Amino acid sequence: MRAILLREEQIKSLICQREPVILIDTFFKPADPEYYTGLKILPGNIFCREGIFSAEGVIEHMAQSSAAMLGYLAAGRNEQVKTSYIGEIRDFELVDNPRTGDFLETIIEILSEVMDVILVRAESYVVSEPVVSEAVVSKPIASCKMKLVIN
Amino acid sequence: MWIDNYFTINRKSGIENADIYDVELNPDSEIYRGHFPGEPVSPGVCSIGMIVACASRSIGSPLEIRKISRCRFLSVISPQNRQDLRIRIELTDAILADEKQGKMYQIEASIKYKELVCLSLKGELAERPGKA
Repeated sequence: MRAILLREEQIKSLICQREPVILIDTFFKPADPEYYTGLKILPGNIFCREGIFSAEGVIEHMAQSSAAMLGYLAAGRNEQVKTSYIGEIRDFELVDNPRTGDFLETIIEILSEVMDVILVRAESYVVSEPVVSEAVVSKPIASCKMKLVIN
Repeated sequence: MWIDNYFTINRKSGIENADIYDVELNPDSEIYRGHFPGEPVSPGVCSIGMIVACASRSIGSPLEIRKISRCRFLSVISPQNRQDLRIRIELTDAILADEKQGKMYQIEASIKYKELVCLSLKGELAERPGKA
């Protein structure tokens, strides 16, 4: 089981998004080049309809997971956390929608980094509680490659 | 849900196989409180959400993204440029998937601000899943 580094309010030190758009609540201890995040999907989440968390929510969760990774790396260099934008999404696939009450766990892997453009691979899993070790043995419910542009 | 007051469709028209939606963003959407405070920028996923909403209207039932083979974000959309946004949607015939997934549609879409292409997307949509 992986150690939790930051939770809820503390996540704000890594990303520029604020409520009601924040879609990560846990940042686990990374194992470079892999980074791990989580989100408990609560009923009031604005990306839910009738208890179903939408594909847009999953993609934004993946983007914020990547942003948190970039924020974590920036903090390690004593730099300010910058905003980042999605430049491109490739090969996104959603096998099944997460539902309220689910814990979504995401693995971000850096594939390449050229100047301010970072290419990552994201894989999201539904798990019963925040433990990355469980995620790696199950099948992802969503995955994609994403290009992020740092502002 | 955020999409309910995110934007309005002012006009729907068609060119050949495509549906064209002239849309306007709502600058008072709750999204901008958090993306980002004091610096409102339309999240890329919300632009994708507008495309899905327009496609759902074209088909006449709620759809959901299943696959995106490629989506490029070419220019930033923001509520400052909330008018003159045009969404172009081309849906191909339903693909027969397995019963569990229901009907699927292939989609090619773009969003333009005036003549500037802001987003292009190619993917697959499915009927929105119901309650488990």
